[in-house]
Amino acid sequence: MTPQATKLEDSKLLIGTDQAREYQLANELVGRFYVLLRNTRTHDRNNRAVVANAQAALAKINGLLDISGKVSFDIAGDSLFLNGIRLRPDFSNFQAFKSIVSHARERFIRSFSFDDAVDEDDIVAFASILSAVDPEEDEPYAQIVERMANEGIAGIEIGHVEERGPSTGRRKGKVPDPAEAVVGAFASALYFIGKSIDEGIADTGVTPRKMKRVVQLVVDSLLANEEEMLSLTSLKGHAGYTHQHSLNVCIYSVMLAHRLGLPKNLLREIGVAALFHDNGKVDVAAEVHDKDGPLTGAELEARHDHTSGGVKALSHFKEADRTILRAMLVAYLHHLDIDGSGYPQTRRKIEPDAVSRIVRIADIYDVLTSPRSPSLKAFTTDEALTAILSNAGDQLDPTLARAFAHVMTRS
Amino acid sequence: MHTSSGARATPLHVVARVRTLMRQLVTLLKNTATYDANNSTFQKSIDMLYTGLKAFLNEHETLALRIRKKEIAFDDQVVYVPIGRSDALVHPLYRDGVRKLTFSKDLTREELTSFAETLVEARETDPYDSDLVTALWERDLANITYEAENVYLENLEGGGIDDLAEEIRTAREKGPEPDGSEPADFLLKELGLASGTGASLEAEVESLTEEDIEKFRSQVMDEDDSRILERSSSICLEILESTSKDDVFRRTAHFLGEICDWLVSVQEFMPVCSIISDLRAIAQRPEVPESTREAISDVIRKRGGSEKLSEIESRMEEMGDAKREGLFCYLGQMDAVAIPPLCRTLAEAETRRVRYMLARAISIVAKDSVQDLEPFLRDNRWYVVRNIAMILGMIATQDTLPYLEEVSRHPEARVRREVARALGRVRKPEGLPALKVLMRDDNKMIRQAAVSAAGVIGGDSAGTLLEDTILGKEFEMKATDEKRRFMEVYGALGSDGVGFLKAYIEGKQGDASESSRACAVYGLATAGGSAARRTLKKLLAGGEGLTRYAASEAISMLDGRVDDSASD
Repeated sequence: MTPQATKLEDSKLLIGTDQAREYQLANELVGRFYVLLRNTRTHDRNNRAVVANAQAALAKINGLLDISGKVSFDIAGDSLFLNGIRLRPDFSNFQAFKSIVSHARERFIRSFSFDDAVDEDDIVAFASILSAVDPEEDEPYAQIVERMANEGIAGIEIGHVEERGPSTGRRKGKVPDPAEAVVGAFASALYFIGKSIDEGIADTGVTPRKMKRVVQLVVDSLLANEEEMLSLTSLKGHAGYTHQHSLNVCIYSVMLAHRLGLPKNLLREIGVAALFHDNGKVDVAAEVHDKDGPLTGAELEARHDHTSGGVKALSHFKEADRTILRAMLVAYLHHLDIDGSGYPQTRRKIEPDAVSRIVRIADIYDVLTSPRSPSLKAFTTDEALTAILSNAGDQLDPTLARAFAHVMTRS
Repeated sequence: MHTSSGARATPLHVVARVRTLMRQLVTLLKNTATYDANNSTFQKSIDMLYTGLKAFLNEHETLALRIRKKEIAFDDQVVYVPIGRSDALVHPLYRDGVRKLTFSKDLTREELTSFAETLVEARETDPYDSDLVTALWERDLANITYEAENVYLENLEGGGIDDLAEEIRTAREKGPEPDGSEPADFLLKELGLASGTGASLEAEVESLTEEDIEKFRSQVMDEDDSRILERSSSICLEILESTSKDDVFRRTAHFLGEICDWLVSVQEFMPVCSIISDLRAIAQRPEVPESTREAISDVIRKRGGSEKLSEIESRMEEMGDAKREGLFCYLGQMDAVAIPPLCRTLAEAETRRVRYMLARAISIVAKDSVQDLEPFLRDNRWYVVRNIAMILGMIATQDTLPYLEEVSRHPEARVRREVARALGRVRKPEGLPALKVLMRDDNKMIRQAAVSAAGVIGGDSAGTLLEDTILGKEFEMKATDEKRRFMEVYGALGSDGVGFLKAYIEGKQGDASESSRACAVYGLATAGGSAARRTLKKLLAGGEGLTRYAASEAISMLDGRVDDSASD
């Protein structure tokens, strides 16, 4: 069973129990604390919103203390644990989780806990200190500890990453650039898909294993540093259009799937399929491929062949691995709409599967925001999303279109 | 983690502890491979390692191990060197790129067990599909983390990735390039979309609900392999129907065969039947070149090979009726190459329902290749020969007769009886000579089966054969019930036999004993018709003893036959 599947099962099993209540309160506390962190950046401590959120957070903390007698948050990697149980963000509080985890990690905080001495003022003071200490300053953790002591915060304790071991790989004074890992993953995937498209799957020795490992890197980097990964999708000039487009679509698709709460193994499957969705373009003539204006009917037809071309390319694999089958579906169906319009039109009725529908939206977004020729004026994010939403319902999956717009406007 | 010059070296007793932990880990791997999870030896080894590791982690927070080509190091001290070839630790980790392995303080027993299982299972992993890093990634163990190198990109390497990374860094520093100025609205048309002005971005985003997301999530999570396989096969068939390129056709057909194998492995037989049926339909198109036909034959032939069929064999006995019927449909689509393995499977099948299903399937596959069954007619096991005789009867073509005739002399009575039945199913007068011999068999059951078969064949030849037998000297020696059976079968050949039976009853020919004549009376009942009825009425009025009694019963039988008058 995959970790995410376990989570879903667990959630079902937890319903109505103290653990379920604890889980719910923890999620709510994370949401409140996130808002509080934002509020304290712009408002003073007596602001009504600040106080209201601190009170709400305190209520959650007291609720948690009533259930288990302790409220201890740990940060491990990109995960947040409450009293040893990994918390999973849902779609609505994803940003809150991400923000708190990165906020803490940047300041070398490995854990923070609340005990029954905590009060409303402690919470406001703690949030204000966290907001005020710049992670770029020297020893941000030490500064936070010092300020907490100065303010006499009694009911809150924090732990340093060094105190809990180097599992995050960081050491004082020698902080690796998290963006570097993202660049490494991005470059590996870009190189890999570039070779596969330019030289063909058969000639480059691509195997399902290699596809999985490349995309595992992308998934890990995206989960660890979504913002950095997204920023790389807008860079141009270092790779061929289809290479960069393929990777961008992979990134957008995985990101959307992650936000939809799909398990990690499925993120990889979706990532591989998205990365190889345009693999059939190897057979499309360059003048059609890179044309910076509208295509003629014949050119469009030639371009449409890339969907079956993708399947033909993927049929080079000697075995029918699930990852390959998924990639085949997506390569063939990523231009087919839910109302049956689009292409290819087939004798057998083949509806686009859920992953193809994800990739369809990611593909449209990237085509519009990163047009194939530098002379073309790219759509802005809002324009592209509006275009996608205008076609949601009949052609594009409305849930996915809205979810994608949600993700892109709030990233 | 190399100790920098001047740094305090790790105390020896700490290194010694890690060495002990390594030995315990190796023992755990060995026991994981040997015993199941409930075994006490396994339990003991996991307990020992877990206790030691937890104690270490409680003191040191983490245990970070460096994986080198032929050893494992902790703080630059070698703590494990594999001995012998059965190394399940260093080599697999290093081979797949793992260079650092870190155990963290919150490690659970389950995580440790899962880690051991991953390492052990990695031995069986096909390097084409997966590797240890991927397996560890899938397990997602929060407190056992790793750092890995991109060794999997072997032949794709060559400095390209580093160069590309450098270009990306440069591009990142420069920031996004400015857009062009030419309008790109035509892209919407190319993408098949209407121009995007109808939606309010904010309102649309706000209208998204958790229920919608949950619904979508369930849809994705519920999509099992079978659904993906079915879609993929439809796509492959679309490609096959539209391509004129031989290499593409061959490749896609091969891949489709792989999909069929997978569907079979999850016991989804009906979609495979449909795929093979579609493939055969493609092959029959007049415009299809010979090479395409060969490719299709090749795909179907491969599915019927011993290796493929043996994968199904072990699960046949457990299948429910619906799955077994699907399997029958699938096996029935096989090429003749499947006949020997299917016959071998039939020979080993334990239950009657599986044997019957296999026999039906073989009868379809062997319809045009009856000769391929011949070797099994010489099998030393009588039941194998019996089953093949039954299959020949199911095939029921003229081609089967020489084989049935040959095996009609088999020493085992159960085989001969099956041959008699099979000859009846074939329904060819050419089968009568063999039946004639079987009608004289020492075994009564076989004689009766043979006469029934002759009755099924019918016609003048069968009538003549039965008349000869009835008039033969051996007939007098038969028991009454057998004589009656012969007479009834003869009568059932039709009203033409009434004259023969009447003469027999009147003692003008054949055995004149009263019991034999009474048996002939029953023959009239099966013959039916007005002539038989008149004769029976006369016997009832003027006859005596056993003949009269038989006539009375025979008339009742005739009266009970609804369609008697219609058939007159």
